Amino acid sequence: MKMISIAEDFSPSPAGRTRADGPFNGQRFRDEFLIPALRIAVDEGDKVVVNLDGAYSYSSSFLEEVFGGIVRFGKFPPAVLTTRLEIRSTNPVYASFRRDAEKYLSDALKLAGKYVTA
Amino acid sequence: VGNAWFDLLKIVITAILSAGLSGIWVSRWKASLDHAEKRIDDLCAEISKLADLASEYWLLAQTDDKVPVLQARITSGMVRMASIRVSLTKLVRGLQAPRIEELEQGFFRAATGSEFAVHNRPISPSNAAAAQHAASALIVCIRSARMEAIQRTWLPKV
Repeated sequence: MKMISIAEDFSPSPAGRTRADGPFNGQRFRDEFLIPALRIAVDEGDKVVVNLDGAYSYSSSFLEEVFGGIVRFGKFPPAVLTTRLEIRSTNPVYASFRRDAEKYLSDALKLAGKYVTA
Repeated sequence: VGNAWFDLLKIVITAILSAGLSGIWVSRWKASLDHAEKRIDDLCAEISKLADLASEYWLLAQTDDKVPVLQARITSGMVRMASIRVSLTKLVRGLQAPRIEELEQGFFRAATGSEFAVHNRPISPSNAAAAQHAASALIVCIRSARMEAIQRTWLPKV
């Protein structure tokens, strides 16, 4: 299991969507951390856990860019994302951020499913 | 005569001790209720303040000088708000209810979703209004949970 802590491995204060919004944006985390880790996990039959604990805070737009964006831009089949990607928080203070991220992921997967079946 | 005085003394001492212990118990109960009320008020005030900051943010251009600090105050305030709520769950039943957690998440999304912190985002009166609506819904739900908790039990949670 590959564990990525956003606060420790990326930045304790992530913000923004794209590279134009600042150095620790969602697009950068998705493209440079999450997608490579997921590729390795798929090859090795493993799982990636993204841990939200420890950051100063998150904006909902950052979480959407990462977890909605992984569906739109990651080129992973939906089954891979549902089985090989886990969003985690052990500190209850971060539970709402975790639920928000999970909702963005599931909403994007639903939307992707609609496009596939249409 | 001696025994009668001794029995009377026992009754008086028992009565004094009972009254004293009841007094302590009642004041501790009242203190726990007051503490919970004060913390609920703090939580609701924090939510209202955050909603106002979010509305101000969405009505300013991203290039405005105030925006970087506003962004930081809003996002750090969300963690502060969640911390207060989590610490209160030990005192007030119902603050961990799925509906409150869902509304808290909705408020976070209304305040900092969409194009929040995006360099060329447009001014958005609709997002400014959405933050106020989401905050109101959350406050109403928290106050209702508190009322239900009081009505459900008379026992103090000290």
